Amino acid sequence: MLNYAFKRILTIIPTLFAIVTLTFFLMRIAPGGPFDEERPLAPAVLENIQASYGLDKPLIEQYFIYIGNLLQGDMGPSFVYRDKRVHEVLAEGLPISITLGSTALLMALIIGVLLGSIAALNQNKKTDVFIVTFATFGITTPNYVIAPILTLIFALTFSILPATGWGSPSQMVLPVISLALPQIAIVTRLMRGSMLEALKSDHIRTARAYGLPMTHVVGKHAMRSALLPVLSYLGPAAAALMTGSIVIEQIFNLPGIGRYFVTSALNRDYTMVMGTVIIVATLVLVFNLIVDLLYTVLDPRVRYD
Amino acid sequence: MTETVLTHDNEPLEGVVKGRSLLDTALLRLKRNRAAMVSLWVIICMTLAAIIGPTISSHSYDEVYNHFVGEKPSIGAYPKQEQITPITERALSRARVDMEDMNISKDSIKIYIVNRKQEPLDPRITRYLLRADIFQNVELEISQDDPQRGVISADIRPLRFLMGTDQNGRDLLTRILVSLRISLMVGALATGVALIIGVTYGAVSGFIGGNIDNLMMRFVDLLYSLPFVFFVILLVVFFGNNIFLIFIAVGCIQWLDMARIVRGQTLQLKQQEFVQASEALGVNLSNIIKRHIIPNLAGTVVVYMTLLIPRVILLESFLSFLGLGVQEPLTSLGVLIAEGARYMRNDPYLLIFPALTMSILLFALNFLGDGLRDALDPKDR
Repeated sequence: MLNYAFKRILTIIPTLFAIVTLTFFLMRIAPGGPFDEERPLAPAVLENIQASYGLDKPLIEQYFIYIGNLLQGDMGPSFVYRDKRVHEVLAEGLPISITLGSTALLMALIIGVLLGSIAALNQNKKTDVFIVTFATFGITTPNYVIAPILTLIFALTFSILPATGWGSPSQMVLPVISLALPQIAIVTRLMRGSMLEALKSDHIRTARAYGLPMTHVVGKHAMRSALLPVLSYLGPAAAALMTGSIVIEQIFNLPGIGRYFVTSALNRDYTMVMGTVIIVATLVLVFNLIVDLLYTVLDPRVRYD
Repeated sequence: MTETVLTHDNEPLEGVVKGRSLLDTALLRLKRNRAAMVSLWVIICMTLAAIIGPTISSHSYDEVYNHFVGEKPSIGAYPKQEQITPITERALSRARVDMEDMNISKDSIKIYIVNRKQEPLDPRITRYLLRADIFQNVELEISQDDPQRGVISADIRPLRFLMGTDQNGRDLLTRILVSLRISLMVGALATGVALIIGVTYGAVSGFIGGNIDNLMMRFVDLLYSLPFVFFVILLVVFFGNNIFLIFIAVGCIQWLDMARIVRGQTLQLKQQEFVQASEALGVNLSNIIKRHIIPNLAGTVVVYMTLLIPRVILLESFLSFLGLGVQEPLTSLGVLIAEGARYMRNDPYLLIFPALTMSILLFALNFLGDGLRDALDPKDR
C-alpha cells in the first residue's frame, strides 16, 4: 500500500511536468502578447519591457529559466498585476476558492448519498420518482442558470440572502448551493444506481435473512459497496467544481482564483496562466491519488502491490 | 443448406418465423419508453426549428429595433396604438418637417406635413419613416399649390415579438432559434470529431492488443489527468474566436471516453464465439469488422453519442457565458443566458426563455440517451 502510494506520487511528477511544458509552449505560440494595447507601444519601449521580463531571450532558454525558478518555488512576476509575484496573487484567492469548492463537495456528497439511498430504498414509489426528477433537473441545468435564478428568488425578490460578496456565512449560502447543485444531482443518481445493485446482492439478502435491523443492513453493509462508484466520481467532481467555480465566482463577484483562469489567458499573462494551470493540475492529480488510495480501504478486493 | 436460405432471402419461406434482429428489439424497447419517445420528438422539433426557424422568422437575429428595446413578450402586434404618435413625431423631427395633422387608422396612417425651412419638400424624407421600423409602403404626395406641404401615407407594419426583445431591441425568439442552431451544430461537430477519433483509436487498440494496446491506453490515461477546461480556454486563445475551430479542437479532446468504451467492447467481441467462428471459416479481417464488430459496437457508440452532445452543448454555453465563445451579433444559448442574468431584475423573461430552451434541450438529450442505453443493454433483456 505504502509502496503503491509512493509509486503513484512519483508518476504525478512527470505528468505535471508534461502539462507545464505543453501549456508553456501552447501559450507562447498563441498570437498576441502581454503588452499588446490599443495603441501599440513604441518599439524601443516594448523592447525594454520585454528585456526586463526576460522575454527577449530564445524561447527554449526562457523555458529552462522558468522551470529552474519553478523548482525553487518561484512562479515569476505577473505581467498584468504589476509588482506582484504570481504565487502571491494566487495565495490571496486560493483559500476562498478552496473553501467554496470543499464546502460544495462535502454538501454534494452528504446530500447526494442520502437522497440516492432514500430513492433506492423506495424504488418506483413517489419519493423515488420525485428524487429522480430532481436529479435529472439538476444534471441538465448548468450552474450558470441556477445561480442567477437563485439570486433572483432569494436575493432580489425576498431579500433573505446577499447577492454578492464574501466573508460572512450568509454570503456563502447562494454560491455554495449553486455550485453544489449539479454535483448533488450526479451523486444522487450514481448512489441510487449502486445502492439498488447493492441491495440485490447476496450478502445483503443473507444479512436480512438473519434478521438484522434494516438500518444496520443498509447503513453498514449495503452502504459500503454502494459508495464505491460515488468515490470514483470524486476526481471528476473536483474538476467539475473547479470549472463551476469560474462561473460562480464571476456571478457572485467573489475574490477567488476562478477569475484568473479566463482573464490571464486572454491577457496573455504567461506566468499567471502557468500558475493557475499548475495549481489546478496538482489538485486534480492529488485528488485522483487520494481516491485510488481510499478505494483500498473501502473495497478489500482492490489491492495494489 | 446455407445457400438455399440465402437464395430465398428476399421471399420468406412459408412457416418460417422471421427472427427479431438486435436493432428490432432495441427499437421496440425504445418505443415502449415513453419519456425517451417524447424526448426524441422534442429533439426532432427543436432541430427543425433550429434549421428553418431563423429563415421563416419575420425578423433577422441581428436586426435592431431602436423603438422596441426591452419589450415584454406578447402575442399582440407592435406598435401599440399609443406608441405610433411618439415614433412618428421623432421620425418627422429627424426629417426636419412639422406635422400639421395625423389620421391613424387600424393599419395605415396619413400625415399632413409642412417643411420647417421655406423650401419645397424633398421626396427623400420618406426614408426617415422607413427607418422607424414600423412603416412600410411610405409614399409622399407633395401638394400641388404649396410645395412646402405634403401628405405622407404609409401602412403600419405589424411587428410581433412573441418572446419580447432584448436590451438592444432584437427579437428574442429569433435569437433563441439562431442560438439553438449554433448549439446543435457545435454539438454535432465536436461529437463527430470525437466519434471518428475515439472509435478508430479504441478499435485499433483493442484489436491489436498486447503492448501496443497497453501503450495506447497509458497515453489516454495521461490525457485524462489534464485539466480539461483549462485546455479549452487555451485553445480559445490559440484559435482566436473561431467557434468552429475551437469545437473541432474540443472534439479532439473529448474522444477519450469513447476510445476507452470502444476498446473494451472490441476486446470483448474479439473473444465471442461468432467472431471466432467466422475467423475459423476464413472470413477476412475487414469483413469481420464490417459484419460483426461494427454492428455490435454501433449501439454503444450511439448511446455514448447522445450523451456526449449535451456535454458539448454545455461546454459551448459555458464558454459563451464567459465571453469566450460565439461573438456578437451571432449568439448562443450561453450568451443569451449571460445577458439575461444581467437584466433579470427588470426583465426576467430574458433569462427565463433561453434557460428554459437550454434545459428542455438537455433534458431531452439526456432522456433519449438513457432510453437508448436501456433499449440496447443486452444485460436485462
